[in-house]
Amino acid sequence: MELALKVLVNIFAIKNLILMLAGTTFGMMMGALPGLTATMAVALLVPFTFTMEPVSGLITLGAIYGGAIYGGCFSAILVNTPGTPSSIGTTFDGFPMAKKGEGDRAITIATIASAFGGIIGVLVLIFLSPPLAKASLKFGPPEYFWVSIFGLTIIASLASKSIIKGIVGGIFGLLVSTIGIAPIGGDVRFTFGLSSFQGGVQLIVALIGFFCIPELIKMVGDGAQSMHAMEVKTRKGVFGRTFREVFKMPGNLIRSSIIGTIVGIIPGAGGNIANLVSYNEAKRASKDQEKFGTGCMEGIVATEAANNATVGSGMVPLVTLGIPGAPPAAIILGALMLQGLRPGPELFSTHADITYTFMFSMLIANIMMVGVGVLGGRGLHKVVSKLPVRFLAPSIFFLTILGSYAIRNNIVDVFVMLGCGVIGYILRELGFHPGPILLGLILGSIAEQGLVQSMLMSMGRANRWSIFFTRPISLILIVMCLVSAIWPLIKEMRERKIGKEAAK
Amino acid sequence: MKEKNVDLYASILMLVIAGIFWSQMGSFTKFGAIFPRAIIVLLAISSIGLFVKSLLSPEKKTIFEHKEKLDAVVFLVTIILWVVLMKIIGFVVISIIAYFVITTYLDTERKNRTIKNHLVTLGFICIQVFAFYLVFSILLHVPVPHGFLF
Repeated sequence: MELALKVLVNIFAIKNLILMLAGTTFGMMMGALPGLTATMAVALLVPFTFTMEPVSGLITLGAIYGGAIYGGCFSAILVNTPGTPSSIGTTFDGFPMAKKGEGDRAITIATIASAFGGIIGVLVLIFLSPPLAKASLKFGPPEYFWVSIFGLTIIASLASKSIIKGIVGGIFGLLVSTIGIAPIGGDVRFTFGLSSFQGGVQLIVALIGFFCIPELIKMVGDGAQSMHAMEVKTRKGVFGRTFREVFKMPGNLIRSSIIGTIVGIIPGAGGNIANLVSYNEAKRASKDQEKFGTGCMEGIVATEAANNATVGSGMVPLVTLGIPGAPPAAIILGALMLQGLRPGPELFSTHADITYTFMFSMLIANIMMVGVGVLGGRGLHKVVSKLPVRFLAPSIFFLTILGSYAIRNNIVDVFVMLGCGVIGYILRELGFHPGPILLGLILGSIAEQGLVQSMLMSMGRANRWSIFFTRPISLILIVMCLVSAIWPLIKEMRERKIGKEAAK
Repeated sequence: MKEKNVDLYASILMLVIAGIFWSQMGSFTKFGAIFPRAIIVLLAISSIGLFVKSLLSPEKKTIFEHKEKLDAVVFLVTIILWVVLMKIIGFVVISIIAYFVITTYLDTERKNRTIKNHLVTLGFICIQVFAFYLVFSILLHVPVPHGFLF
């Protein structure tokens, strides 16, 4: 009871409500800009949360994350360019609907579906996190080792067209994670004579570098006139009419939200996968499949409900196990740690008030999103879609400098960010996706700590490695790792076989 | 532009990286060396796998190919100089200069712009840079790097 009151007081504090609104609005603005992902939106604003109280900082980041995933629908609908990868599927029906002169309707559909999906995802976070946190108490170093391997197998297969490149990228990320002082033993490793590397490569710095810089180079290289605006027609009564239309398809809404929630919980999979899976399922379930791709509202509902459901559900493995479900969640993990909050059971006991305030604030932020999106969305689009690349690219780079520098007030971090950016650009040109590299970087320290601590635990055993293969949860995780690693190979073989048969 | 065997380049690059890290292994303690050693070996093995793939079924694509290649190069060089000169010239001054250079260079209509247009652009940039400078240095107490100019 005391906890509930504390949470309510925290959430409805004027300052926090303003931060939710501001975070949602800023996230929307960032998400609406093609090329700016939710990851970048969260990463750029992390430094601003350093001096805030932990609750306020987390509320802001949660609102930005949700707002950015939603904001991606604006440019997807109006300029046929997904603002974030989570809105790829929204272009399929959103843009044709906008071309019919119903852009405002498409935006309203996307707003309502996003809010619904977001709320479902957060409800799962609130109600599934405590049991998962209890289960996480049973996780020892060997289990954490296998969890990190499981996370890596998923990203390696999902985030890249080439499985082997996903694996190589993931291992490269693991190697980068070993730079600096060893978590056990205290060895100073791979600093190449630079004392600044003793603290290792900062996760947020690497994230900004690997995601932002290659995108900026591409944006500039593709031409300064690459963004074009589209006129937005507004009509009266669209919101009420569309609201009723959306809720006339509860099956689609619920199915898409559930798909988004499940995909979001899996570490490494995010809105970019959920929106496409959900679109596919909505099409398969529809009696009128031909309508899809011509501007039908089912398609928009499916993609937007699914991508926003991943926001809340992606936090489930983060708050319980410390495994980020998606790159923005990885940055939130960094912010949690900077605030002295360690994911796991401690979050639900010692810091329960902060944790539940954060979760419930995401619920409120989703409701706020409807108001902000419908009222401000059209105007916002007019501004952001007309901002030329010549201003956009240096503005973003300016913010990345500030973002990287502010983490430790260290100029070396800015150099590391730029270095990661250049390496990221080269690797991207060579066909590597930054996702596996960064997941390797994130999971590296967890894997190493799990591995070395397990070995220390098993010092009295005849076979030191047996500790990894004899505990029940470890065995379950090993099976999950095997299934996850082998499944993409089977899928690829099946596709090849189908391709060959079709060629005959 | 001719398509390249990107798998081959990628595998060679990763093998070189594995070699560099292996050469830095030095005299780590047993528990400090176990994880990086395993990772380097895994990187080398997977890179060899990618190398074999590059010979059997290579992925071929054009690399570093953009519609406006020179724009991308100028942008990259400018942002590198932006970072390198930050500590020498000072964050605020170099940000204004670099931002203005990029904005002006990427402006396809730059030859038709008047001095007034450029001053307006410069004013916009100064407002943005100073606004963030003030937010960071006063509100967030993040002391941005100062150089000999500011």
